[in-house]
Amino acid sequence: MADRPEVSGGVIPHLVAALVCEAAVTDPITHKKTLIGIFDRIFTPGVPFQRPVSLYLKLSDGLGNYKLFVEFVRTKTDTRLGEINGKFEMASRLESVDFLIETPPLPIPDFGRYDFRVFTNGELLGGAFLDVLHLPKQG
Amino acid sequence: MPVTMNLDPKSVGSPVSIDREVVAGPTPILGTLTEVDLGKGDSSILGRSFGLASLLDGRLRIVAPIQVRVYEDAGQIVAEADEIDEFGSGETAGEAIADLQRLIADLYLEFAADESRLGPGLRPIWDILRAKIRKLG
Repeated sequence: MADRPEVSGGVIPHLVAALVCEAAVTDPITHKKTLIGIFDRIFTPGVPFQRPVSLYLKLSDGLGNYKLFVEFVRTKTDTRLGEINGKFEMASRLESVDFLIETPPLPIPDFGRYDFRVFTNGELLGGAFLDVLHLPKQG
Repeated sequence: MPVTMNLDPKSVGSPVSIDREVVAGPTPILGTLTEVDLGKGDSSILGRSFGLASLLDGRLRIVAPIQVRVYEDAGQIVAEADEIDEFGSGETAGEAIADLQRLIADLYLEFAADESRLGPGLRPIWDILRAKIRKLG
């Protein structure tokens, strides 16, 4: 990387997938990724609580260096509860990149919707959501 | 307190060189994370401007970002794209942005279908949309 010029990606990459799952495994030989327990709803008897998740992102059709920013937001209040910052490079528009991000326990202060918003170079590509729903107590 | 999530570089694959036959993974990985910054994360999208880089329509791709400002007005959240004089609204920022994305997609498709009949008032907006959005296929 050191001998390559730092060029910001002028091409907006395409967010192919943004998925939330329980866990993910990467094969060390083939680099195939296996996502375990993809979900978009959490049923819970009470709030607040904390919960780690795995976030899988796949991007294509980009070229150059990008700043990645993912924010975890409580949708109703638009409060940012966590964020991911990083950089990556895409060497060809014909290739794709993907990431597995293991989060620490995320704060879930209340019922409702939560968003993962994915930005590259400050531009909103899309994201994924989580709905936290009330699970009535049994008995 | 906001939580900062740490991107683990080890979770990102890199090209692998092998001299025997293997089944290739579904995703050739050429990009790698080169740096991890830890953010503070204590502000929201409200009151901010950003580039909108996607529409909720698989037929359309944004090739140059459309600047959007998100703000609250009379109890509603508004996502406004000043350069094309369009805005979306909703109870949340996410709803307002999604509303704007649908409106822009509809506007593009409508203008594309009636391009020859656009008057001088709409032509500048179509020029911007045409420069920033591509129809796939």
